[in-house]
Amino acid sequence: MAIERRPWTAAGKTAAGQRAARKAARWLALLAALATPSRSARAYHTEQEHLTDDTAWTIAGDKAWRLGLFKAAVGLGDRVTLGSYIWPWVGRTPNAYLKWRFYAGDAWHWAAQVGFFRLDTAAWDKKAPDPPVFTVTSASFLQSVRLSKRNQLSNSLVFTAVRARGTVDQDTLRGAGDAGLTNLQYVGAYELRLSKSTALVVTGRYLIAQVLEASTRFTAHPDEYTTIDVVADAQDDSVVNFRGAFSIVPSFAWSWQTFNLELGLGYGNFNVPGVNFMINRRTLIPTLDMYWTF
Amino acid sequence: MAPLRLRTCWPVAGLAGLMLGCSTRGVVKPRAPDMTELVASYDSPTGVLDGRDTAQLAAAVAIFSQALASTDLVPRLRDLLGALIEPVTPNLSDDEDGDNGFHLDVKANGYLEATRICPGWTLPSVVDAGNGNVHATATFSEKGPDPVVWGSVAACRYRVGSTLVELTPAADVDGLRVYWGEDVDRETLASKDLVFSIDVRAEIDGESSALDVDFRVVDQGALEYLVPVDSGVLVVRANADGSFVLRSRDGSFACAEDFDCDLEPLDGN
Repeated sequence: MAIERRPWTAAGKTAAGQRAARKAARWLALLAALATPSRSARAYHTEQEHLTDDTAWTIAGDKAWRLGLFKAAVGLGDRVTLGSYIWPWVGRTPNAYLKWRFYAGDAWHWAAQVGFFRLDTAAWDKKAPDPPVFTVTSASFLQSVRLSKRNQLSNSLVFTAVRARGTVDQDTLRGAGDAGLTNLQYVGAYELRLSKSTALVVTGRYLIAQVLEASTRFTAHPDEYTTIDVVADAQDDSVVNFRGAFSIVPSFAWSWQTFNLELGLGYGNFNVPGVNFMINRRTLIPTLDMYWTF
Repeated sequence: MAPLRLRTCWPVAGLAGLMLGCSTRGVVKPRAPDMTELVASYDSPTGVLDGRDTAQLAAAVAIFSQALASTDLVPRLRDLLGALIEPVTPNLSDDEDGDNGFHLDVKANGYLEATRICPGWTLPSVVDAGNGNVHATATFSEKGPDPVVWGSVAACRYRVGSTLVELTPAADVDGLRVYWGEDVDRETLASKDLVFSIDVRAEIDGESSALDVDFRVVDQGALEYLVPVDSGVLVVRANADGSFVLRSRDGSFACAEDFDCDLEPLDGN
């Protein structure tokens, strides 16, 4: 395909100015869209556009970006989404996730997702010689099926590994540790499309297994004459003994032209998003998310 | 559907690989000496009561008793065992326990190595590495501490009252071995039967002698000595009144201070 090269003439300058004007207009339109979230327009729970949280779906159709309260993401084609949780960056925690919808059929869709967080406590404690570093790696295997035009069901297995490594340095104790917490969760999401812009989503989460693994080396001084060096590793679920934790969260998802709002109230063990650590206490779980896709 | 199977396989394989890659490395524990046979000897002594062994028994028990009393070894070793077990005893209460409040509160696998500097001969004692030390090793698993603790002494100097004591190794092998058994913890240690096997040289007020003794601490303080005789080994329990109970493979016998034993077995065997 031949590309016409325009000469750098007055006409070219005009064309450049027009492009700039069009760009500015697009930004203005975007800002207007962001500022008027309740503007009703064409249906956005479509065959091309789907909720992407806890489903095999990726950002697709004519949308390439998602920006919201908690996440920012970009669609790389229709099959890949690259995103990040926003708030951890405030705590100097770089993080990202990548979802690949590797199979897209008429009814069945399959995807794999990996995520990564890294928290280096040196950002806060610059005096510590070897401050703890936490890394969170997650891998998900997701499947969504279109049961009917209005009914969608998604199932996923989420494996998460949290690893902490660091050194404690006190007068009576010097120790280095390496600890890992792994868990496996099942997440099911049922979506019932009530209208073109409204859907009821019921998300269930079940903690299948959670295991703490740790290796440590520390030196204790129980008295001034005695030094005890301890070398240990552990694999234990007694301190994280809440296998079987669950949550059920019904919510409504409204999707307009660019603005999306999710509101819900559920019950169970709250799951820290991204990190996938379930809190060992059952409570009411209110949910709120809003984001723009464009 | 074949392409689907192919495409779904490798993300699953990747997930499995990630799970395997996150497993932690294991600790390589030092190997404890085998005390099984020694421990079994206390319940199944192999020797027989023979009047010709009386002098040998009396002399051995007298030497052992005197040496242990002079060196104050048993309470000192028990104290070290208490310090050893502390870090691997889960802290079940929420209370902080002083400035050494560090415990493995999970089921763990590993080992501890304790070094206690000896207090020396000066009064008051000072922390000085030149006074030698006692070194002890214990291993533990997810079930709790393993049954054997072992260690050595290195020119360990201390006072027992006005008596000056120095313990030195008698051989290259570990001179201190203790069998504290299964399920020991901070609370049960004081009431546990402990089997000691000591092989050191003890210099007491300038007089050096071998201290090679196997004994068991039972009933929270009574001592049972394992004494070799021509026919095997006998177990001699020292009573508080100075008398003894002697156990042989033929039964238990009551003995006076001079090992004049009643030939009628205590248990009727």
